[in-house]
This record gives sequence, structure tokens and C-alpha cells, in this order.
Amino acid sequence: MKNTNSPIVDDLVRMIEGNDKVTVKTLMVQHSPIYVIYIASICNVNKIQEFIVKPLLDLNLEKSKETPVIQQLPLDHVVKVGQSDQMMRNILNGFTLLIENGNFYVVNTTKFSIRQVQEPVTEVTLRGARDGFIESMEQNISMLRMHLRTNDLTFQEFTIGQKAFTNVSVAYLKNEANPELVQEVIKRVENIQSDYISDGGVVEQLIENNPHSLFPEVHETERPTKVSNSLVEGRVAIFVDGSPSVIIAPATLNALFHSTDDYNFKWIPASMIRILRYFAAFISVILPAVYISLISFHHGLIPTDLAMSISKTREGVPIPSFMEALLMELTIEVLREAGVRLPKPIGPAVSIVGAIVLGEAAVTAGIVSPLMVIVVAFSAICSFTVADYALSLALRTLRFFLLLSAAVLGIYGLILAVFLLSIHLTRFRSFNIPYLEPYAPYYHKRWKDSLIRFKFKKRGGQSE
Amino acid sequence: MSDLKQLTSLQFIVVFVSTMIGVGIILMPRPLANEVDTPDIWFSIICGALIVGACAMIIVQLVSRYPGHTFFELSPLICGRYLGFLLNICYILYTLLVAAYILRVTAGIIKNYLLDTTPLFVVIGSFIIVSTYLISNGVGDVVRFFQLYFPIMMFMFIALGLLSLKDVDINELRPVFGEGIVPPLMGANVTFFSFLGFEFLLIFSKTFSKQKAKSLRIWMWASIGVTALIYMVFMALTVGILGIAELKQITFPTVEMAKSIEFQGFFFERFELIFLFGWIITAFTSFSAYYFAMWKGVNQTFRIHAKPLVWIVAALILGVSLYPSGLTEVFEYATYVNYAACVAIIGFPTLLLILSFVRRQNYAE
Repeated sequence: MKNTNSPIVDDLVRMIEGNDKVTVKTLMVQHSPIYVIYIASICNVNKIQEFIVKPLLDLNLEKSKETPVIQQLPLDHVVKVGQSDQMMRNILNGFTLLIENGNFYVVNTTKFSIRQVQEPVTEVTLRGARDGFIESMEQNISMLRMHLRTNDLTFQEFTIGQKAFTNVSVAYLKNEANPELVQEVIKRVENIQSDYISDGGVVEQLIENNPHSLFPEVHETERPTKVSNSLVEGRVAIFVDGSPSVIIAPATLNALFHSTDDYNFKWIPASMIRILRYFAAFISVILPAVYISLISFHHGLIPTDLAMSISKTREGVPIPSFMEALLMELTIEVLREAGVRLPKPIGPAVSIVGAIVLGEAAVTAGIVSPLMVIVVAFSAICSFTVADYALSLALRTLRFFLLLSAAVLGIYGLILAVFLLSIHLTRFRSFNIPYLEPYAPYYHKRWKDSLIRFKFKKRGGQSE
Repeated sequence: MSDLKQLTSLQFIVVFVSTMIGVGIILMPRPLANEVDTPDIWFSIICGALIVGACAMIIVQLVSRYPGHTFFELSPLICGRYLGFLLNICYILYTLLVAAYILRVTAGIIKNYLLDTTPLFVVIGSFIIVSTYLISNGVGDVVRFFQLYFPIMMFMFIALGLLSLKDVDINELRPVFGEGIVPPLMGANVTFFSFLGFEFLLIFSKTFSKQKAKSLRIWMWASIGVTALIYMVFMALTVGILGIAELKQITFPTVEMAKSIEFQGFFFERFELIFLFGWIITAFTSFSAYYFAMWKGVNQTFRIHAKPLVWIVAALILGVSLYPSGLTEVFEYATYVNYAACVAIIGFPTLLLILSFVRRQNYAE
């Protein structure tokens, strides 16, 4: 690249030297040079040619000399910038840098290659909007704006990352969100000291207060409607450029159990399904542990007929019931992981082969008892009803903890483990909001959208 | 120290009912049946509740003169440093005794019904460890935990009450006041101790420091009322199902009552498990309240706040609770615990209140 006779431009060029994808154009307008700098692969080159280069070349010389030439270009938004690191950032964001008389302007000419809007794979709903976030923050924000049209919606932009930067945007409704919460979120986002942020999941872990807890401290979603609902409730959303998952803070256990479907169907069936989901989650965590404690400690508590048939089925099983349960649980986990990793067309096949063939064969071979297979399989199916994947991961891990405590101290150990778990949850706070709100502490006014979702009010307000 | 806003009336009642209902619901029937010997033992609970309410009013009076002060803070304020220190030590010993007593009885019942071969110290130790986790972070967690489990506990009790209704023989409850009103009145000296826990007005005082004495009085009566109602229902049920004569023989009549429930064709036959689960919650909440009170006392009396020291308190409780060699011996010691309770929850507050009047102290502003 040739020398441009301008020290600042030379500096910039040196910064991007060796990077031959950066285009530097020098145009002589009114006998002074105007530099146009951009990265062709992430810019809309046609736009640059049409609205920057061409007008500059045919510029009418009689035009007033007071306003800078660049401000006269037929562009929507021209921003003046100062420092050189900001310039560099703008260029990397797909902006075009224009230099005239030592003044720097940036123009949005971004054109990253992005994926089409699709329905999110991980969060399936039966009714309601089917759009899902994609990897472009700009597109994501536009999707949110489509679902949430209010001038209350406020965005605060940040760039984080030391080696490579990532754009992060904190969104909230000015009149709904608690200012303290917004401050806290912004503080935590600003405090991130990381070389590189690859995804929303990394941001999520870096702004958490309890890295050792199993439970997710924030909500992660790919659905714009979920974000808009949360913002209306006064939560704060964090958009991360390059990531389709948007982080919602704070999370409470109650909110993690909700699905957008709950609001789209009539309140009685929707509430029934919600209760079912809570119940299923509870069963999925506790059932194997209850079974183990009954089998290995409290035969007396099992109804007599059932105890007889259980002992018949366990006849010839060579391993203790705890090991048996552990074995089956591990098998289920392996199958689940394999199902996730495998290509889509053969994923279900493996699950079916694994679940039916392995289970059936293991029973026939006398390695495990059929009842154990029922217990483990049912609890695994129950765990699929949990709407939030991070929560379902937590519950899956907890199942092993409960299993272990039931194996050591029976029902008593199980009760103590459940106490321990609930103590942890009562202590746990997500952005200073108690995790078990509105159950502990009691917030009566918010019970209307907890276990049961009450019907919507016809006149004003969300629900009564 | 976790933060906590002021309790609402509902939360207050929840906390105090959780604290008061404890081992009493399982242990009370037998001594009560022996003392009263008529089916009117439910009436003794009303009498007990009235006496307890009167004692609670003394404490409310004291608390409202020193809002936000715990017992351990206000006793040096009222009686001076040395006497206050002595009172505090006595109070700490009292909480230690009661905590150890609750723990030992709980462990005894668990060993009896759930884990007959597990060593006692394992049962007790694991209970203490979980409780330590609860109390180590301050009053806020304790209160939230109580709130979380209160509905579950109530559900268990109501479910059990309804299920056992079928087996009640109403004739066992008759005649009402057949031997006059005096024997059930005498039973009040047994029922009184089943309400232990109301004295934590003096420990949880930070959580209602802004409340007026009047609302505290109403809330306290409401809590005692709810507790008394639950006790009464269960006493009536146990008498109705087992009969007063049998009640005198059985160590844990309430569990036996739950055991006797039978529903043919229903998958789950053993209802004592449901009862035991509900009851372990109440035992845990009562124990944690006493443990918390003791830890708080040690904190404020010796002015130490290092969290690891909570394990010394835990070890003390463990040691005392392992001291008696059997449950029979525990019941013998129970008499001494009751004497200590009388001194600690009637004697101390009355003394402090009188001294406070004499010295014309009032921090209510």
C-alpha cells in the first residue's frame, strides 16, 4: 500500500498492515484528500461505491465550504469519532472510515454473512411466534423491536474482550426495570476482564456471583417473545454479538419453569400443565433416590404385594441396587449425550436402540431388574419436561447427589439432602433477587403467576 | 449476615408456628394421658396455650421496649455487664439443653422407625451438619427456609388428619369432662412445654423491630392459636383412634396413629412415612431455631463472629445430645429441661421487665 502523506492514516495503515483485505482509497476532492477505509469482506461494497465514492467523485465544487464534504453525502447516519482504537473497532464492525482534513467519520456499511431466521431448536413451543435469534446482534435487536414496540426500550452498548472484542448490549425498559438491577447488570458486564468472548454462555458465567452453584443464575433464551415478556416484567436482557442466545437477568426458579406456551393457552389447562411440569421435575430428581432408599433400607414401607413382586424381579441381579441404579443412570446420560452429538437423522435411532434394546437386553440378561429400568426411564422422561436446559442440567446432576445420599442414609438421608438443597436455594440470589421468590420469601402479589397462572385481566394489567 | 426485610403478619405466624410445633406433637400424648387420664386432653392444650400466651405477652412487652434487641443484647443493657453476662450464659445453656433434647428425641424416632442399625452419632451428626448450613448465614435464611416448608408441613398434617378421620371412634372421646374440669386443667403443665419456641420473639427481634407492640400481640396470639389448633386436632385424633388407655403405653402415639391408617386398594399403604416426613420438617425447624439462638447468643455474648466457631457450638450440642444412654434416660432428663425452660422463658423475661420498669429504660423511639 502506498504512502498517503498523512501521519494518522499512515498509523492506521500500519496497524492493519499485512492485512491485505483492508481497502484504503484516496480520493482527491477540492484538492484535499479524502481517505476511505474499510474491510471489503464485511462491508456492503456496492453501498460504498454508490453512496460514498461516486458522490465524492462527482461532487459539485460550488457547494458551501462551511459544512464538511462528508456530511453532504447521501448517507443515513454519519458519526464523527475521535480515538484511533475506536476507529479500528468501527472498521472491524464493518463500518467505513472516512478521513477529511484530520476529521474522522464512520458510516455504517456492515454486511456480515448471517443465517436465516429459524425456529430455535432447543426451545420448542406449540403456539406463538416462531422466530429465533440469530448470530447478528443488530438483527436480534430488530427482532426484539418487532415484538416490543415501545419507546421505553433502552439499550446500552459495551465492548468487552481484550484480545478480540465483542459487542454486548444491555436492554431494559426504562420505566419497568429497577434502576438498581440495571446498575448491577451494567457493573458486572463492565467488569468482565476476558481475552475473548465467544458466546453468550461465556458472558453468563462471567457475570455470575455463584460459580459453584449448580443452578443457573440467569436465563438464556433464543426466543424474542420470551425476551420481550421478561423486559415487560422488569428484567434486563443482555445481547451478545455473534451469539443467538440472549441472557435474561435475574432468573428465579419459578421463571425457569415457565414456558411461553403457558401464556398462549387458556389459564386452567395452562396452569395444569405448569403444575405437571413442576411435578415432573420433582419426580425426575427424587424418584431414583426414593426407590433406592426403599429397596435397600425400608422394605417394610413398601406395600406387601409390591415388595413381593420387587423381590421376585430382583432375584438373580448380581449387583447391589445402588450400583444398579448408578449403572442405569449413567447409561441414560450416555445415551442422552450421544443423542445430542450425533447428526440429526441418526440421533433418534440411537436413542431408541439404546433405550429399548439395551434396557430390554439388560433385563433379560439379569443384570438389572425391570423395575429399576422403569424408574430410571421414567425419571429421565420427566426431566425432559423442564423447559430450561441449564436448569435441566442442574437437576440431572442433583439426581446423582440425591441418589448417593439415599444410598448412605435411606429416606432420612434423602430428606436431609432435600433440606440441604432447599437451604442452598433459599440462600441463592440472582442479582439480589431471592431465587425462590415468590415462595420464600412470600410475595403474595406475584403468586398469580407462579404454580398457577391466573387468567388475564380484561381491563389493564397482566393478570389478576 | 443475610439481609431481611421486616416480616409481614403471615410470615411472622409461619415462623413462630414452625418453631413451636416440634417434638411435642409426637411426645406429648403419653405424659399428657398419664397426667390427665380422661379423654379431655384436648382441653389441656387450650389451657396450656392460654398460659403460654400470657408468658408471651411478657416477652412482647419486653421486646417492644427494646425494639430490634435480642435477649443477649438487652440483658446486659438492663442488668449491667456482669449480671447480664451471667444471664446470657444461663440462656445459652438453656438453648443448648433444648436443642440437644430435640435432636436426641428426633434421632431416637428416626432410629426407631427408619434406620434401626445406623449408629446414633451418624444420624445426629448429619442432622447437625445440615442445620449448620442453614443457620450459618443469618436469620434471613432461617426465616425463608421456614416459609418454604410451612405449606408442605401443613399439607402433610391436614392430609394425615383427613385420612385418619375414618378410624376415629367417637366413643373414645366421650365423656366430655366426665371427671370434671380439674384433671384436664392439670394437664396444662405438660402441654405448656410443647409450645416452647415462642420465646424466640427475643431472638428474631431484628425481623420485626419496626412493629408496634399491639400488632406483635395479635400475631403472637394468632401463632399460638394455630399451634394449639394443630395440637388439639392431633390429640383428639390420637385419643379417638387409639383410646386413652392405649395412649399411656405407647412411646410415640402419633406415629402409631399414622401407622394404623389403612386404605385398601390404594398403592401407598404406609402413611407413617408421610407423617415422619412432615414431622422431620417440624423437628428440623425447631432444632434450627434453638441452634440459631445458641449461635447468636455465643456471638453476641462473647463478641466473636468467626463463622468456623459455629462448629464448636455444633460439637457442644452433639456432645450433650449423645450423653444420655437411651431414650428412657432422655425422658428423665426432660424434667430438668422443663425446669430450665420455666426459668429461662418465664423467670428471665419477668425479671428483666421488672428491672427495666424500675430503671425506666425505654428504647422504643
